[in-house]
Amino acid sequence: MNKTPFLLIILWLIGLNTHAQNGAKATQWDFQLGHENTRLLDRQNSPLIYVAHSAVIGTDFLRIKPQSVWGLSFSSAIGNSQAKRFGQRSVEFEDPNDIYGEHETYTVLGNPGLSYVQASLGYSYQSKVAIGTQGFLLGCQLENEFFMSGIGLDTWFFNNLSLSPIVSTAFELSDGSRIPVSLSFPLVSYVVREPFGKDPSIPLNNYIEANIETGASFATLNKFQKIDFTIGYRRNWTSKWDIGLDYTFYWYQYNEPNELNSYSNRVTIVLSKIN
Amino acid sequence: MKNTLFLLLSLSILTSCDDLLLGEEVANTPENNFKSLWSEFDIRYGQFPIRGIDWDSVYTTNISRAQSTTSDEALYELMVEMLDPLNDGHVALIPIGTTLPDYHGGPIGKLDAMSDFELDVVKDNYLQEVKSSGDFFNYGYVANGIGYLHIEGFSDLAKFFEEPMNEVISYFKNADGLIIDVRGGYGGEDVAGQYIAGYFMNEKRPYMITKIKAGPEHQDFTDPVTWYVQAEGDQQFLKPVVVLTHRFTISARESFCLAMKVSPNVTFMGDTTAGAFSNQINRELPNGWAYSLSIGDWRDANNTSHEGIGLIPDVLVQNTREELLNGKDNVLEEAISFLEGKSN
Repeated sequence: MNKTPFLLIILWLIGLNTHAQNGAKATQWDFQLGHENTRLLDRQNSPLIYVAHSAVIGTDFLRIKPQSVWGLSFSSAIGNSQAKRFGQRSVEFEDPNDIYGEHETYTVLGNPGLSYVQASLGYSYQSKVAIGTQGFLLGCQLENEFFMSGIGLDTWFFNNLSLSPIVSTAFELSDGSRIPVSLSFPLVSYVVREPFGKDPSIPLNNYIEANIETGASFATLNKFQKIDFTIGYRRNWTSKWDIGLDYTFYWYQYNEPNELNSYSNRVTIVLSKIN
Repeated sequence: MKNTLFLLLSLSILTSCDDLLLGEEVANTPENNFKSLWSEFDIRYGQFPIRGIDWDSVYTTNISRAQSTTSDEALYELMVEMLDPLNDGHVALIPIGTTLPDYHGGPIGKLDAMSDFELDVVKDNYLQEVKSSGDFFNYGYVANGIGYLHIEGFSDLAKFFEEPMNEVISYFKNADGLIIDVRGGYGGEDVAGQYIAGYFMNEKRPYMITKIKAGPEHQDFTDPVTWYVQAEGDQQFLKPVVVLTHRFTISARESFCLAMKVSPNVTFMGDTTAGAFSNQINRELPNGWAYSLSIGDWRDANNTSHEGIGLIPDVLVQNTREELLNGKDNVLEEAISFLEGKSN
């Protein structure tokens, strides 16, 4: 993985000529509803690409101060995940014959119903800065993301708690509407995934604890790379509400014990209540 | 307009670049399927050191055959020939999307019928009163002072067994002996067997040592983990116990037997167990077929492996199908006689 682009972005962020902007205090609630398409190839688990179509809900709370903005965000995507090559599959199992010469046959649906879940919870703090006439928010974000999916006849998960620089801005259009843009990528992460053997197999009666004990590690850019880029459109709906649309592109790669790659395209309708 | 076109172009690129953003998906060819199965076993199968299989020679012997294979049937046949010498009850091949049969390895895979046990025979002919507790326990008295507990499954964490086990042990508090039947059914969680066995212990004892694959080489394992069994629940049953096993007693049922084996009060009767102790994982091939394999090396507290062999009972007793059809369970009757002899 070429780290040069990340280093250039970091240097650019450090070298910004920043100064505080003035503005009034406010709070903002965002509510998101939409759709996400996720693609996943985890060679630790399968040679097949999996595709998930999910419904997305999310909410952000922003506290806007004259010189800074801090925010809490939560989002979740829940849907169905299938191998791209095969779609929905089912398997028929047969028990051995019993003493009467009869046996039970049962069908297992591969990745049924809600076989893909993603959830994230984040906290961010950003300072207002300006480059020329364009205002920016620059800061960092602490976010935990959890992914779980059916893969074949088994389950798969990946969790990362990441500290990321985040930069955002909004381009004002002549009709008063805006195009908000934000970008974040983690520098340091605490990652939990399945160990090489996949099943922790230790005498603990808690799957989460067992996976943390056997599959957790700290990662920097050398092991875990992630980009979260959002671009949107906002316009005033009423004096208290904005309405708009966000498109988010999300990509990550983790390389232990085998390479995991995933990306998502997410489109959400956003309602913002500003006080 | 230019900006809009650029944005649309960018979005279309981002949504159609699986190769760029994920890497290339392995093509579905017989050769790739063979290589995928072989290489996944090569790096993840945890029993090459104890099975004595030269896995490299399996590759060199079969690769040209895989390259010339054109049908599902021929590929399936080749794969079964590869896997069968492992003699592992946790190895299976499920040819999803075909009419080919599932393959199951080990002694259990050679048996097409469970003709030596039927729970209904026990319920109808031996249990004085059929009681049940939780999802997995059927129990009752089978003779004066002799209790019987059939454990249908171990597929939950320990906390789900606490209330049912306390109920069972309380019911048998005045019994002189207890028969625990782990015939029938399949495996589950080792921690479940560890917990249940704790109801028959009064001190902490090591009973199992496990390690799982931690890297691609055949000898790459995690550090060994010693499993202990210790007193669990409100009260323990410390009088004589007989555990009934047969060839279908597999996986977590067998690790439960390892835990019970360290108690001085326990006698094993029936037939040898399946000899597949390690945890298994489920995987898939580029053609969508599923398979499973053992990921580790499970041993008893003396560091002896019983993989591929099974636990040989203290008293070998077998049922025939005809006897069961006539309502007679020899194994159970032998256990009842044994415990009656102990209590007299």
